[in-house]
Amino acid sequence: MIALVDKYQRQLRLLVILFGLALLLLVMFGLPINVLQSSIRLATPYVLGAMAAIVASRAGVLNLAIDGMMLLGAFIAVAVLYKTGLDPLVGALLATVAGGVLGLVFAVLYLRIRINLVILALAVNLFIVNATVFFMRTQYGAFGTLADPSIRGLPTIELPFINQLPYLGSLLSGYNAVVYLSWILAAVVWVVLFRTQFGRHLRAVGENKEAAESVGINITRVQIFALTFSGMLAGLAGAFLSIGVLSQFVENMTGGRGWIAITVSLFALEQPIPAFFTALFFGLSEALSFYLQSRPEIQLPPDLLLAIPQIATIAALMIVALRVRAGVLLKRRNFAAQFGKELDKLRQGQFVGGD
Amino acid sequence: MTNALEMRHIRKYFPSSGVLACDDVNLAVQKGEVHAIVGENGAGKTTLMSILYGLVTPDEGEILVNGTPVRIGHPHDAIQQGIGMVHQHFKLVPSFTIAENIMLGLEPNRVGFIDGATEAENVRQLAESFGLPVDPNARVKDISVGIQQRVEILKILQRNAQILILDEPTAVLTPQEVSELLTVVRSLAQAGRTILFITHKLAEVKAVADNVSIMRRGKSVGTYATHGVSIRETANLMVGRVVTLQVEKTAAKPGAVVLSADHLLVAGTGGIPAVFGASLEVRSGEILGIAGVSGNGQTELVEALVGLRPVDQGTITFLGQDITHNTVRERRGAGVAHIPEDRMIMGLNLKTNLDENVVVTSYQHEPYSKRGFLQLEPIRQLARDIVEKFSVRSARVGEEIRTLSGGNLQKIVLGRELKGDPKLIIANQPTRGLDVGSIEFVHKTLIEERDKGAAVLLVSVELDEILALSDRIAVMFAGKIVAVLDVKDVTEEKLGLLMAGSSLEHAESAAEKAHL
Repeated sequence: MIALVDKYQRQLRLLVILFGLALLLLVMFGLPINVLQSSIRLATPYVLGAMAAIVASRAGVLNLAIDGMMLLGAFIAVAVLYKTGLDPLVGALLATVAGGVLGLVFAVLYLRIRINLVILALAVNLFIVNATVFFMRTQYGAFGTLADPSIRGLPTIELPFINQLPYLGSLLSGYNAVVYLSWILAAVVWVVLFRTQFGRHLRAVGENKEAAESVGINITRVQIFALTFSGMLAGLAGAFLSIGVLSQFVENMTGGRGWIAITVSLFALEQPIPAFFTALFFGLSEALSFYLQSRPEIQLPPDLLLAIPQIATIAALMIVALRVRAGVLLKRRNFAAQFGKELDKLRQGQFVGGD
Repeated sequence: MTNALEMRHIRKYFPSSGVLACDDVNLAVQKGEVHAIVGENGAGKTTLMSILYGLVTPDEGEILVNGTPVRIGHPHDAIQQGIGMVHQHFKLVPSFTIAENIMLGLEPNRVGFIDGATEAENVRQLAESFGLPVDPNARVKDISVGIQQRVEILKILQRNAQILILDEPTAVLTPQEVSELLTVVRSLAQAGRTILFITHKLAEVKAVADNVSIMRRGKSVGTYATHGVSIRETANLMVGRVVTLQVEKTAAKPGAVVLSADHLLVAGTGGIPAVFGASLEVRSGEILGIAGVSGNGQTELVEALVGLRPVDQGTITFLGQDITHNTVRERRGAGVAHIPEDRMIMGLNLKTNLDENVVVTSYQHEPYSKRGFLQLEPIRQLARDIVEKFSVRSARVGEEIRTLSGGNLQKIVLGRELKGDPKLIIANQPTRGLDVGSIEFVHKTLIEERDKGAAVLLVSVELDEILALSDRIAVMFAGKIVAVLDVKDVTEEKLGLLMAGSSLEHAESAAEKAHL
C-alpha cells in the first residue's frame, strides 16, 4: 500500500485534484444556484471559526472553547438588539467584542492561573451554554428561543459591478456584511501570520517556545493576543448564526459548529487559504443536507441527511490522520532505502570500521 | 590586562535534588581566547554556564565582564553584555528558513510588515563576513545538524555576542562536522571573539583550546595552558585520582550465543542513521562491554535491541529466533531484561508506589493478576522480596518511591529486571550518578548474573567501568562496532584511539610505538 503511494505520488496528487475539479463541476452545474449560494452563506461560521482555531493553534494553544465563544457571540448579538432598535451591525460588533473578552479571560485563566487547558475549555463551553439559557429565561422570559420583531437581521448587500457579472455575480454578491467580512478576514489572517513581524513571532511561539523565548519574545503576551483575537473571530461567527440567518437566538444554537471549525483548521493543516476552501466544502455539506431534505423524491431517512456535515467531519479527520501516518511511514521507507543501499555498498566494498 | 570575563566565588545549591552544583567556583577568561571547560558528567559545567547566561541564579558570587561587575538575571541581560550561548539542544524553529531563524526578533520591517529580501541579504552578508556560508532561504528542518549549529552560531553573532558559550557543541556532530566546527571556533577567536568551549572530550580540548579549566564535583580544580598539560594529566585532574576500579571476578565461561545483531541500520533523530551497520554477538556467561564516546549510536542501538526503536535494516537474533520486529513485551517474555539509561524517566515511575513499580513488567501474569484483576498480596510479596534481597534501604511496600536516593532507585530497577533469571541483560549506563557503594553493588550484581549464565550487554561511557566488568569489549564509533577485543588484549591507549575513530591496525601500531 505504502509502496504504491510512494511510487505513484505525483499521479495520486493529480487524481485528488481531478476529483476536486469533478466535484466542483458537478456542484456548479448539477445543483440549483440557490444551493450554491446557501453553501457560501453557511460556510461563514466555518470560515471564521477555522480562522479562530488557526490563530490560536499557530500560537501554540489549542482553543477548544471556540464553540462556547461562538455561542456567546450569538447570544450577545441578539441581546443587544432586543427592543433597542439598534442597527444589527452594532450587534455584530458587540458580539465580536464579547468573544474577544471571553478569549482574554480564557487566556488569563490558562496562562496566568495555569488551569488545565482541556478542563478550562470544557468548563467555558458548558458555562456559556447554561448561562445563555439562564439569562434568556430570567432577562427575557424566553424558553428555548429568543425572538422579537425588534431584532433585525443583518441586511443583504449587493456589491455594485460584481453583481452584474454573468453567473459569478449571483455567487459572489447578495450576502450580508459578515459574509464579506469573513472573506476579508481569511486574507487578513494569512497576511498577519505570514507577512508581519507579529505573525512570525506568533508562529515561532507556537512551533518552538524556547526558540522564541531565547530571542526575547514575550510568549505570554503573544499568546494572550492570539487568544483574544481568536475569541473575536469566534464571537463574530456567532453573530452570523443568530442575526445573519434567522434573527433569533436558539438554545445551544451553534450545534457543534465550533468543533467542526476546529476540524476544518486541522484538515487544512492550519493554513488560512486552504482552510477557507475547506470551510466552503463544509458549507456545501450543510446546504446539501437542507436541500436533500426538501426533495421528497430522495428516499433517505431525514436524520441521516441532517448528519451530513458530521459525516463529512469524521471523513475529514480520517483523511488527516491517514495523511500524517503515511508521511511518517514514507519518511522511514525513504530512510531505509537511502542508507540501506549505502550500507550494502559498504558491506561489499570494504571491511567494517575502515579509517 | 583585564579579563574579558571573570566569575568569582560562584555557589549554587539545588535544594530539590540536594546537589551542590557549584561550590566556590572561579573562572577567568581573556579576550580572544578559546577557553575549554572540562569535567565529568555532573561536575557543574553546565550549571556554571547557565549562571553566566542568566538561566540559573547563583546563591553567591559575582560576574565581571571586561572588569566591570554585572548582574545577569535573565538571558536578556547576558545578550546585552555581549554573551551568547549555543545550547546543546538547538533553539530553532524547524519550519522557518535559516534567515528567519537568525533574524527572529530583529526582523527588518516597515510598520510591522517584514522586508523579506533585506532580511535574506543581511543574513547572507553576516554569514560571508564570518566565513560561515549558509543558504538563507533553506528551511531549518531540511538541513543537517552541523548546519543547524552554524545557524545557532550566526544567530548569536547577529546579536553581536563577544563571548560565545558553546555547550558540548560536538556531542551531536559527525567527525567531519567536528573538524569544521573546530576550524570555525579558531577563526572566531582570531577575529577577537572569546569562546567558552564546554566539553568532556579531551582530544578536542587539545585541538582547539588555548587554556583549559577543569571542574570536579562542583569545584574548580584549576586552569592550565593547553600546551602545558597532556590528555592523560587532564583526565586525572578531571577524575581526581588515578582511577583503578577493582572488581573481583573469575574468568568468564562463555557458552552459546544468546544475542546477535547483524548489520543494523537504525534512524536517529533528524533522519540520519544513528546505528549504521553495527554487528555484535553476546554469549551466555559473559559480559560484553560497549565502549564509545557518548552520541556514537549506543543509545539507539540499545533501544533497537530492546524493541523501543524500529530497525530499518539488518536482523536481531535472540536464542536462535529472529526478533528484529518483535514488540518490547514479546522480547521481555522471551527473557530480555533492560536496565535503561534514565532510571528517573524510563526505568521507574516516580509518581507511583513501590508495588506498582516492581510489578509493571509482570502484572499480566499469575500470580500477580487473575481473571483480569490485580492480586495485591502477591504483588506486595514481590515488593518485599525485592526490598529484602537487594537491601533497598528506606523503601517500604505500598509507599511512594520519589524520595529515595539514586542508588536505592537503581536497586529497585535491578530487582525488577533480574527477577525470573533473564537470559540477556542489557544495561545502559547502569551506574551513572550513583555513589561508590551503589556502584559496587550494581557491579557485583551484574557479575553474579553473568556467573549464573546470563549474557550481559553493558553500555557505559565510563571507560573504567567497561574495563573492570567486561570480558570482551566492543568499541562503537559513528554507529558501527569498529572493533571487538578480549579484555586481556586491551590497553587504555588502544581503546582511546579506537573510540576516536582510528582503525584497529592503526591503534595497535600506535600503541606498540608508545611502548617502545
